[in-house]
Amino acid sequence: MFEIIPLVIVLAFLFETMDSCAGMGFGTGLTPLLFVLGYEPLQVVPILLISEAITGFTSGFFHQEFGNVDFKIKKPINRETRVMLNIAIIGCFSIILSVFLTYYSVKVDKTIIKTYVAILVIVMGIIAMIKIKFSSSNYKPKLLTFFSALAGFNKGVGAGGYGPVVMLGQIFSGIYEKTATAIVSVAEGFVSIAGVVAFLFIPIISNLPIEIDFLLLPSIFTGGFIAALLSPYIVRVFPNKIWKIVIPVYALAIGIYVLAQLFIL
Amino acid sequence: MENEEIKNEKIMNEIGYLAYMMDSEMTMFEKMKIKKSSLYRILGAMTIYLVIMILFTLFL
Repeated sequence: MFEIIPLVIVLAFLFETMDSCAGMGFGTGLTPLLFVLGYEPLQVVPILLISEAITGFTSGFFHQEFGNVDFKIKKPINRETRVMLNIAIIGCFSIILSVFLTYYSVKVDKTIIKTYVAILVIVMGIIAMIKIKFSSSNYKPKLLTFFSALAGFNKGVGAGGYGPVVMLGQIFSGIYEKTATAIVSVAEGFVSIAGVVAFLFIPIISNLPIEIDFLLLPSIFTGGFIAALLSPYIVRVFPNKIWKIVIPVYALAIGIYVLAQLFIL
Repeated sequence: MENEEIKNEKIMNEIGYLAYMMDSEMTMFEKMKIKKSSLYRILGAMTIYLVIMILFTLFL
């Protein structure tokens, strides 16, 4: 069924703009809002993954085009490409585990782990805000691997928050904010492809029915795609000191939003 | 001396060096300018978007 839903286009545009500018929030922010609007998880989750797979690579391509990042596909690959692949590979394994747990209805107490992720994002956001005053630190690859694994673990157990943890983890590891955003965008493209493949193949292997409803796809894709073209340009134009403030403040807002959803809404 | 400073900056910001140098050397107004090749790539992306939407119309 092909249907265009203007409200969904606007929401997808806003959240993807922030996701491509600040490296987080598309899944964490948009998913619960769509649930509130009455859509079912299988109408939302796989569609967000399909859309994010396309918009992640589109956004990454234009981040490269506008000079926010310098990926090198030809050997020898540079550090930026290596960091992106490192984050993407950990994320791919995690999302496959997450989809597996979803299909097999493994009972995990979502409230406890979501609370833990929300608090983690809030604490990281506060630390990043405190660190705004200090100049950029040296690159710390071990710290980055730790945060990638932590974000992967959170996603793997279905708690989400992959973008905020990886994004802030990169900043703590000394990566320039604009470049960190571009790295997350492309990594999320790979992770989303792994998610889509897992959503399609795990039920096929296990003889379970595939239940994906494509109703929201044209609207989410439209809003997300326009944002993926626009955001890298916005990131390029505004100076990095703006992103140094926007990223932790937005992470803090996301953490509070997740907590509010769990305990107030 | 100047070369050494640039070299130090490069080591400090190896990841993100390109974006860092762009921020250091260009004003906001200069960064607003879009190359012709970038415009063509945006047009190319919009064409891909239209093709995907046509496919959605046909198959969804």
